Amino acid sequence: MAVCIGFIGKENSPLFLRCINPSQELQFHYIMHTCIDFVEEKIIQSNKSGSDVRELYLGLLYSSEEVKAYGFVTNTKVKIVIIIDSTNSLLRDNEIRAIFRKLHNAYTELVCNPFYTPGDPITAKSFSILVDELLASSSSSS
Amino acid sequence: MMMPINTVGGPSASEVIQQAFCPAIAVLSSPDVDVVCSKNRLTFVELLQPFSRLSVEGQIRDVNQALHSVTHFRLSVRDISWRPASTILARRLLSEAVTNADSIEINPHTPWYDSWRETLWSCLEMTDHDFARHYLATLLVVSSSHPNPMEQFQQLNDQLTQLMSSNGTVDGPRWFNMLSLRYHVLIHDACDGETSKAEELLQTMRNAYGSHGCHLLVINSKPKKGSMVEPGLPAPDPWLRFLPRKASKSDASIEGETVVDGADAGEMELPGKVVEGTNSQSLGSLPKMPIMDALQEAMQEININSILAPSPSTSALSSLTRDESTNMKNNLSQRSAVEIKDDPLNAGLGMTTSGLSVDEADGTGLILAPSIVESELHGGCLTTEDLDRIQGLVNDFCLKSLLPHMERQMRLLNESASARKSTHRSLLSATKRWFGSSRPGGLQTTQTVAVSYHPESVQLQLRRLGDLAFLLGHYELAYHSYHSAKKDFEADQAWLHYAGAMEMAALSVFLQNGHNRTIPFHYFDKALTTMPYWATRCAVLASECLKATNQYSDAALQLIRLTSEDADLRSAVLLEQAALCFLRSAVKPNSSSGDAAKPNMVPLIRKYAFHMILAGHRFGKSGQKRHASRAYQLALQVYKGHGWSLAEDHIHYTVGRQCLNRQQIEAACHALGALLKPDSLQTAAQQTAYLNEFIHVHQLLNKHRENEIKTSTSLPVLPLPVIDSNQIRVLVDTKDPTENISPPVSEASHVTFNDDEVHHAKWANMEEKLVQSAFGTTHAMFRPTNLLFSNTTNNTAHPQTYCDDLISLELPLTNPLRIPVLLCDIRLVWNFSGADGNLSNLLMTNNNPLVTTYILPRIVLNPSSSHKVVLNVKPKAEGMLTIEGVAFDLRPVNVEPSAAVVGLVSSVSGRVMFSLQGPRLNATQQERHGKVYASDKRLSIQVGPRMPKLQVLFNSLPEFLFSGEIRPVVVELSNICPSVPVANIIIASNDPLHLAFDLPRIESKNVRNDQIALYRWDPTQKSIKMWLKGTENVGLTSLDLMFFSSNPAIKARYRLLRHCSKIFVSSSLSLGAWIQRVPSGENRTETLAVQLQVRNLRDADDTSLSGIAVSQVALLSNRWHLRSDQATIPDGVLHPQESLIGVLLAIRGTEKREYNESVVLKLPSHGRAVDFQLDPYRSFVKEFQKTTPDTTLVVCWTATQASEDGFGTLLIEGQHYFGWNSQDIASSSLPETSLKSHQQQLVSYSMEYSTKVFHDFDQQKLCVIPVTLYLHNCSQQQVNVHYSANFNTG
Repeated sequence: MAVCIGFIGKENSPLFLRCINPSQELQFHYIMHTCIDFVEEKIIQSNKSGSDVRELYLGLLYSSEEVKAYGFVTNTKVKIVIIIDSTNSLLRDNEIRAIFRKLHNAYTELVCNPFYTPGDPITAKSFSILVDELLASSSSSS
Repeated sequence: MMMPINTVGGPSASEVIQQAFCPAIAVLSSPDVDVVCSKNRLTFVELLQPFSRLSVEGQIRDVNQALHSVTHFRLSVRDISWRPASTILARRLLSEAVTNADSIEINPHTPWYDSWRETLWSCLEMTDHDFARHYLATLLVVSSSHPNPMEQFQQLNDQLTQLMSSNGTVDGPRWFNMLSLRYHVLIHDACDGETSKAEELLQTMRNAYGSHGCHLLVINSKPKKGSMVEPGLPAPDPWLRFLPRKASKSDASIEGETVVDGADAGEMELPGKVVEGTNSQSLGSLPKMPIMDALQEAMQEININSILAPSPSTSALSSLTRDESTNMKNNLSQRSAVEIKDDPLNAGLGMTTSGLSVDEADGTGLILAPSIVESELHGGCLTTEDLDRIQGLVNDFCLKSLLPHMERQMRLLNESASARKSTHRSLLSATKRWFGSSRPGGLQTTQTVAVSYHPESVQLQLRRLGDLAFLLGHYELAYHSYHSAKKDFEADQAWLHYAGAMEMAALSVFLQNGHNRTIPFHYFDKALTTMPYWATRCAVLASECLKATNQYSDAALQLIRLTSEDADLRSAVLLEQAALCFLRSAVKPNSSSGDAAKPNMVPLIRKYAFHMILAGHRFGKSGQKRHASRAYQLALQVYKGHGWSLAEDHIHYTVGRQCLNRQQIEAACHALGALLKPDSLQTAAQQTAYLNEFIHVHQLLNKHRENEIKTSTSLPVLPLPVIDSNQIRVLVDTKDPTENISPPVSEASHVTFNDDEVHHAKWANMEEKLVQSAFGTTHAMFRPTNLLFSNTTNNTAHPQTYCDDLISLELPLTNPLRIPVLLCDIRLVWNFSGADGNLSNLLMTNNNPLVTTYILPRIVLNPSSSHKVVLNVKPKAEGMLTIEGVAFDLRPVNVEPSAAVVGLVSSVSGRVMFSLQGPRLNATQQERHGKVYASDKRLSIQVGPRMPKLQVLFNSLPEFLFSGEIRPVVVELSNICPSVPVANIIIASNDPLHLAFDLPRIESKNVRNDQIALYRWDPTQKSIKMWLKGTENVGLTSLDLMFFSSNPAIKARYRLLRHCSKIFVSSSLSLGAWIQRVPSGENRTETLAVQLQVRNLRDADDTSLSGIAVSQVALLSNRWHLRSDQATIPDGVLHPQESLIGVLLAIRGTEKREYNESVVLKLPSHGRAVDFQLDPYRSFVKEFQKTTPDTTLVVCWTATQASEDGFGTLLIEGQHYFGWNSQDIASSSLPETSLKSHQQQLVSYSMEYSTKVFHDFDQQKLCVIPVTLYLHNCSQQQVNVHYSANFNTG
């Protein structure tokens, strides 16, 4: 089950972080921050291949004993990270892709809002409701 | 502890490995040897330690008779009674090694890691699966001063044989094999006894033990001269870097013993028994401890035979594994060139002598110098020759005895191994392979049954061979031996041996200078999983190898795997190294291709930071507070400023706590202060905790600094509340708040912060008029006085004020937290430089003679909100007052009241400083290109000389007026600064139509049609009357007054006092008039009929104004008279919404009379008549006529107003004006008049005829009725009039 969803801005500052258990938030902040390393590494690698069209989904960033982290980078370098409990093996790759797609759409809608300045921490209510729903659904589905 | 701080970083991987494995040499000495050596304050082992490196290259022939050179050969010399440190002691030693490292500061080479590693090596015990650390040889040392040296040698030999017989079965020292080399050393004190006798003895020894097994060492060539420092000896002491460790260790070992005795007796039953017997060196009688038991019982990597707690005298830790480059440098810089050519390390590093001496000068020398002064010099009786002789002893021993011995052993072992390999192994391993499980790894925990080999078994011989070859640097042979031994061990399921062999095999491959050969790193992995007790060493070595081959992330993984719950220090050190590995992983090797530096690899800085945090956490748990802080600080550099505020908070909080524990209160304050930042994401509860912690720390800090002199600068700068300095508003020349004025009397409002129209042009206009009339002329560039300074005003000049004037500051205080905060005793912090040059600031005295500071007792700042606070100061002397900040006591709000009574309220005094920056300039090109800001001087206030200060009091100044109402107000003026005379009081008002003073009006000389009227006040008058008249327009009107005063003694300085109040005007009457020419009757004079309509506009249910009655109607004109006899004006009260219509007749006067003579029509029922020659009526009418035509109709009325409390009544009077131009006679305010054409107004006519005519139509058909038409030309021009008659019958 997904335990945490995070958005990281272009300049690697956190935009939004939501996890199931709020007491673990600090831990996820650290993990999220560490993920940026892998995201950057992957971006560089994919850039080297030279094609302009980049696959936004980065796949598994890394896995530890407790969690697995999956990454996604939009074309504007906004990183989306989903952290999944390592014990869960039910969530398949394409399901994670689907979650990412939904998150990306949600973010796109958010950016379309003229009252949101890109790069600011996200406080929109509708956005956080959507993320909460995704978290809840992905954790109940497994 | 000195570590080599060389520019290339720490020791290289191969050096590290070689340090870990070097031939161990035991020293068995007679007591008199120590007597000889103690002259130098050293033991024999210590004497040898700095010289334990073979300074020349040795050569051996390997098993195939090929010549093999031995470089970097180094000995590990230990006393025979040396034991590895006990578990607890080892822990302490490791901890000390980390703590004592010189530079805890951020150092990429982490010297504490090196020293930790070396201590770890020295704490490992000898086991029977690893021969590399067993004693290869024994030095038997006897002094020449012994009465019978030969006998003593024999005794030692016997003792040694006895010890060796128990080899491997007890927990004593272990020898490589039974054929251990014995080397006899005779030590001779050159000052004590004859050298010839020693030479004789040497000959005897040579005869007894062979020429290669004996050596004479002559030392102490220099007589001891007390504790004086001999000038002949070089200053840097080669022993120094070994000895502090020993000193601290001896202390520690004592403590360690007590701990063992007291606390851990339950787990280790043995210590109680063993400790007593230790000092007697009765090694033979040691309790038996089977190896496997030991392995199972040991908690960590330290074997349990280390519970032989070493006594100070016997526990000299071998420090020989240490890198000796520092030592060599010391020697180099001071002494002969012998070392230079002998030192292979220096040659290898490619260092030049000069480079070293520089290094020595700035590093080693500086650090060594003080410690020499402290402790007495070691080796005080040794000359340079003696030192050379000691080195000679080591060289001699190595070249002549040890190396040949090892070579011989190697050959022997090889032969026996190869001979027995074929038969034994083929049989044994074949059966094992068929019947036994050949799967290694994973299952060992259940299978760790003792597979014990006989010391001479073929498997162990192979391993021995490998170890020997490894020690000699013959890694090819070592690898093959290990490899075959490994296979055997695996077959036998001897997992400990198996793992050890694999580890060594992998190391051999690595050291085989071959990066061309792939290093079997999987060997390390297997070894790690197989032998948990030795895992630390294995992992450290493996990570070094991986680092050397640039596989940093793998190295980090190896290190992280070794972190565990129970060993905090180890976890911390390893995590830190892992973090550094992540940082270096920018250069990632491509194992297939050779390019090591892929340019687009990025360092994993965030993983680095994360692991630094983990390391810091573990350092904290293991008590290494300094390291913990350092690790957290390093990580903070990565996290800071990127919005990871929860992580940042965590770091700040931890650092704060640690600093507090280490009594670094200032640093703690700083760290905790960072937690109270504006955009914190923490919950309210967490913020409360942070705030309490912060206040607590600051209280500690205050206690700490109690003795220091309190000045404003000593107050800590607090992060709360947030003040946007740019929003500060400064108001000079404020009203004194202390005045006691009761409600009917009100004071002139002057300028306040709430005034929206402070900078309105009307004030500037009035001021200009006032100045003009007071001083005659104004400057061409007149600039109005500004009293309120904010971010929108021009602040390039200092605000001006005068002594004894109050200065107010409005501060926007913002509380960004989610909890309320209480501020107490808020006051401004200022800096005053007087005109005579004396300086002062706030905290020197509370009652400062120069400046009075007003204190705001308390204010609660609600969560996430902003408050505006007004603070005052009053300068009492001339000078420059600079307001620097605000000081206060900060408290959390939720303090229980009981605590407040007891005085337990936690609060912290602090300040917040202001910093102002003017607006960015954009005028010139230079300013547009650069970032140029205007200066903002609003907080630096120029205090001028004392000036008179007017106080203006209004007695019952109304807030409500009815339209047209005339209300008198008494105005009192006084100078509240009585020491200074006042002159030139002028009042300006902007609306003379509705305001009149009982004062002479100053007519302005220029004829600009201004609305401003000026009045001069005679200073002797205390009070005057002022009349207000309600405006015609209903609604809010503002009453603006400006009072000008100046000091006759001071030229060109003046003070202004403003009053601005709002008056609400409500409707009363409306006055309309319809004027028409009417036929004038017989005398044909021009007659006007004035129909006036007075309407009560009050609402029907309104009771505030009742009984409105018209009391008087007057026409003020120089042409027209009212005919009082012809007026019809109904008498009586006008009720709401009623209208009164009256008709008046006015006739043109025959001659022009004096302007403005009035004809008053007094209504009979009202007694008092208004005299329009008197003020204020004259003034109001005059003003009215300035703008409107020459004829004015005035309607005076009276009414009864219900007073505000609702009981009493108040009689009020009012006037309405209606004016018209005499040219424009028919004009009227009545709407139907507008239909009339202009032409008709030029001519008036009247007809005269009889209204009744009696005519008999029977008599005459035509009836003629005479009609006389009178035409009157009202204009001055000639008018052509056509008329036509139109008859209507009926």
